[in-house]
Amino acid sequence: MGARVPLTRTIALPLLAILALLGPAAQPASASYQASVDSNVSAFRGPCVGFTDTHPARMLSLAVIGLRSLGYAASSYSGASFSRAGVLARTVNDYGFYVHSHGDEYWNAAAQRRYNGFREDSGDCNQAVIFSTDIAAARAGRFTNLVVISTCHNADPATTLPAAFGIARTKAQTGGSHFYLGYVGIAYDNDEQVFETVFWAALERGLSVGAAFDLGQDQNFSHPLDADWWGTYSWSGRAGAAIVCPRCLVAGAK
Amino acid sequence: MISGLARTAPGPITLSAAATASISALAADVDERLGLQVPARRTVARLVGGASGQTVDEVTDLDPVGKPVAISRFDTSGHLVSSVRLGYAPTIGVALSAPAAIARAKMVLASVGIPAGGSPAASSRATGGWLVRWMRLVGSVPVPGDGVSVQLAVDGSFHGLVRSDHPLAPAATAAIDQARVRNLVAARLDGWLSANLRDQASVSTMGLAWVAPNDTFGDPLPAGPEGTLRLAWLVRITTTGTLADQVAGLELAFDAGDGTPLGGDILE
Repeated sequence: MGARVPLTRTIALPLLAILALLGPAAQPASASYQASVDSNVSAFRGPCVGFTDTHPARMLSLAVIGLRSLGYAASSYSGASFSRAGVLARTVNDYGFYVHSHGDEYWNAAAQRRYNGFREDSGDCNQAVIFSTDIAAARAGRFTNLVVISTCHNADPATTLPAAFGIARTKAQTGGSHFYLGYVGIAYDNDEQVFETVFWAALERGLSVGAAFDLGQDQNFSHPLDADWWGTYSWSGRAGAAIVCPRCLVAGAK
Repeated sequence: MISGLARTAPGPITLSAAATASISALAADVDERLGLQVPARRTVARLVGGASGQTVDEVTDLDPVGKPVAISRFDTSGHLVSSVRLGYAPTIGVALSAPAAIARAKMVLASVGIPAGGSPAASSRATGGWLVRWMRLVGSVPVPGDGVSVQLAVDGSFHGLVRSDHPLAPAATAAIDQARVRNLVAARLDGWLSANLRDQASVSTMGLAWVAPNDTFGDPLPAGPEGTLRLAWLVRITTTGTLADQVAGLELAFDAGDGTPLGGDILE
């Protein structure tokens, strides 16, 4: 099911070239490209708070529809099924990943420093942080193709989260099949949904990930909203084998 | 676009040859004024409803190999609603200062005949360049999701622009006072938060604004045409402690005339 080898900088260039040439044609006809779509609903409903925020479910739906339109076998997780353990168990096989939750640069007591991450749902009000280091360890350098992080802070300039998914914080017009999208600083729910509605719709219409990003940004939001991306602008976002970009890879970074 | 009006985009509709030619001509004129490259060809489609709730005619500029290089949208009266240059290029050129970015943004709007009154705010973009934003004002009351925005690349070249201008519901002749709003806020928070969390939420700002009612908190939407904004008291709630781990902040909206909840927003 695809070239699922961990790709690192130490892999000889000829192998990378071979992988690039193989492309989707080397895949079995029934290849399935898994995508996990996680949305935190419990933090925003009873018993944690006395209202029920309607956005997490909508944004979950938008992402599932969007990813499926791109050919991913997308499954959704919220409540107890969006757990730290579940995310980490799935991540190594994710070609696509979406999360809507709290995000920040959290203090990691074990490492005595901060790392980016996001909170699980877990179905209750005690929601553990899933650190970038946890994801990096589970993925061992293999990169996820399409990563959309619908949280605060996970596209801040020094974010550690893209590298956890094997995506370096570099930009290129062409040459790879990976894209990381996140928000810079704080982000309100409504504005995120506005951005993502346009983003997914653009991808569904066949525009590239970069064009979808630009259209998402080209709106008047109710609060200051900024986003950033890393990866390949012209990539379609479609599920498929990796088109490697040697200078874009980050191996096992934390 | 105003939050509260988001919806999924339906499929595009193909227009007649005559309509296509007319809209393509509009786009060609805009491209020239904005300094966009002349495309190899253009495609035109009408998006009915769409993500903004507005019907627009979308023109996509394509390069010789069919790659989109710019997208412009026009309302059904032929007025420019948005335009964005597509594609990524490494940052080059001398970076603009904020005042220079504002001056450049004004030139961009003048070139396409979009008026923008008042004082704009310039903010740097994570992707590089500037966002220059003129928020719409009705008298002195802001309309947070409306106005005109111009995005510039680092060197000041055009990247994107968008304008939005939603209809307003008639405003009440007199607004309820802040004391009453504080009582409304307190009642909501008392009902939403347990006793051990209640003191971790407090009002940080309060002011009038035109907002799009939404169902973020399950409030029924007011009757009236879709997309109509209402004058409201907009209250920002700051959270601390363990509550902040769940809800980083809240924004509550109440009808300025009678205090009816109009929804709000959640900060994550």
